[in-house]
Amino acid sequence: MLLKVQDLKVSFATPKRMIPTLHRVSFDLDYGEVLGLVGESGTGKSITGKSILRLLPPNGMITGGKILFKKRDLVGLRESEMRKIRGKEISAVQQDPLSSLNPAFRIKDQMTDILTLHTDMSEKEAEEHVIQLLNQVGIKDARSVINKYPHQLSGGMCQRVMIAIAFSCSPSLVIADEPTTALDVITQALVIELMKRMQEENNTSIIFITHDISLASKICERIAVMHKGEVVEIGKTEEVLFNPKHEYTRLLINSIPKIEKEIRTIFNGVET
Amino acid sequence: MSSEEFITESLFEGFKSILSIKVIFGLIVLIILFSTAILAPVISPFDPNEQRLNEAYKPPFWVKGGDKNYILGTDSLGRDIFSRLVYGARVAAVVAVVATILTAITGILVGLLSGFFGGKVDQIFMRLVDIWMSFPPVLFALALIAILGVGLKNVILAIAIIDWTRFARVVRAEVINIKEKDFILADKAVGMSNTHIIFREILPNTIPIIIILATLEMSIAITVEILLSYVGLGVKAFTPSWGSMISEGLAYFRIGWWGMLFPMLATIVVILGLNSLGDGLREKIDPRLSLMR
Repeated sequence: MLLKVQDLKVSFATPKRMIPTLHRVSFDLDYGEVLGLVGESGTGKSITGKSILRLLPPNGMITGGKILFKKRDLVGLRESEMRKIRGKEISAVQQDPLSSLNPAFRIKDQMTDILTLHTDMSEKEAEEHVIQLLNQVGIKDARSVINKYPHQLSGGMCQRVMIAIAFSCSPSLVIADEPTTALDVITQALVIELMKRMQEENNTSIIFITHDISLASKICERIAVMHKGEVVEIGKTEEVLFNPKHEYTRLLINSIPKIEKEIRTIFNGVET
Repeated sequence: MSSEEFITESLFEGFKSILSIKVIFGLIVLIILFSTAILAPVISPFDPNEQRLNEAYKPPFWVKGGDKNYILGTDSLGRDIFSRLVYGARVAAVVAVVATILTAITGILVGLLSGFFGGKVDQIFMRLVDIWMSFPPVLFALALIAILGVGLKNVILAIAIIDWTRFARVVRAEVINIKEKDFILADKAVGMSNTHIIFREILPNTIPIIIILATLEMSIAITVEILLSYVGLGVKAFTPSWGSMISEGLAYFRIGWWGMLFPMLATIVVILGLNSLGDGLREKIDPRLSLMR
């Protein structure tokens, strides 16, 4: 067992009172497994992801439960210990690739920074490794891309770079927080495919956070459905999709747009 | 095109794109000021403090009674005004650079810490800044000089003590804006330390605004030095400063207008140039920043 989240509770402080956001979230994740966290906006998917990295906003805090990562409880860990885990053991892919890269630096500098931080590679070795990583994520002219600034790259390219960064120290767990939401559908499919491939090549576990259950079904082996700060259903992807037990899961599945049906209803009036 | 070429090219393009009439005018003034300051011994025909009492009150050379040797005339002690003006540029340049560096370092540090950590740290620093800024700057400067004593070093120190608050405020606002960006979260998510994030990730993003502030700060520093020297609390006597030249010129204004006019003109041109540089840079850089965000 790589990760075991047990009765995780998170609350946010407002000037008046504490607002509980996550109530007893529990799930577990095996080595090399892809778990989807699915639910509508505001159900606490991202908060769960951020709690695992211990990167909640300043007013948010974990009020109960355990996050066992490789049998170590991350909840009580010191910040300096946490820093060694972030990026090296657990890394993240953010939602908006364009704003996730520092505009003031070239791709090369941002990527080698992480490598020199967590490994004892020299600048030169790190640069070679970066080129190799970029090739791995499907960037062909990596040697010229590393000298570019983020604003010179497209959204899809930036997300590839972000994925390369996330996988650069071969972490055991990658938390992908809506990694494709800011991308168009075609790039979305490519990025999903890429993440799947990287996951298989490195035998990494992924927590895939998304509001799109159909997207989750493409990559995830298991799906956890979250609703109002709770995991309401968790199980194998097929089971959740074809035999949903919870009312809310059924609602989510029914809300997947079915294009033929949509088109038919639009054109029905015009056809005859 | 190789990547190296690409970078030099884009740097050049970047430089070209910030040029405007204001910026060019400012740059020219700045270059003239600094080259004059550096080359002062070469440019000036006389020792700025050399007195020739029998040659006093010579008008500029184009005025009747003027002497070709003294291009801009001489003052009440027979000192060459042009030479004094040139050496005055030296004082102005030193004050501009050193005082700006000092104010910038203090202000940026406070701004970075205050903006990044927020909460109590921010409260303490910002209330301090509020108190600091509530003192009228000129009176504050006079009081500080009264404590520190006159002299170039103390003038610079006084300017640094008074003016760091401007940097602190602006940098803090900028840091608060930047620290909420996704890439800072991404940096944290790969395990970077706060020090690394503050100085290596946030600071480089504030450099455009710091450059603008620094140019404006230079003009303020020069103004304050001139002002202090004018009232006799700036540089030590005999150090040629535009401020002291103006006040000396005022004393013999009825005999010779040139003693006061030329240092005043120099001051006006330099301040105008620096302000126009800062202003022009802001116009060029600001919209670009907002596009980048």
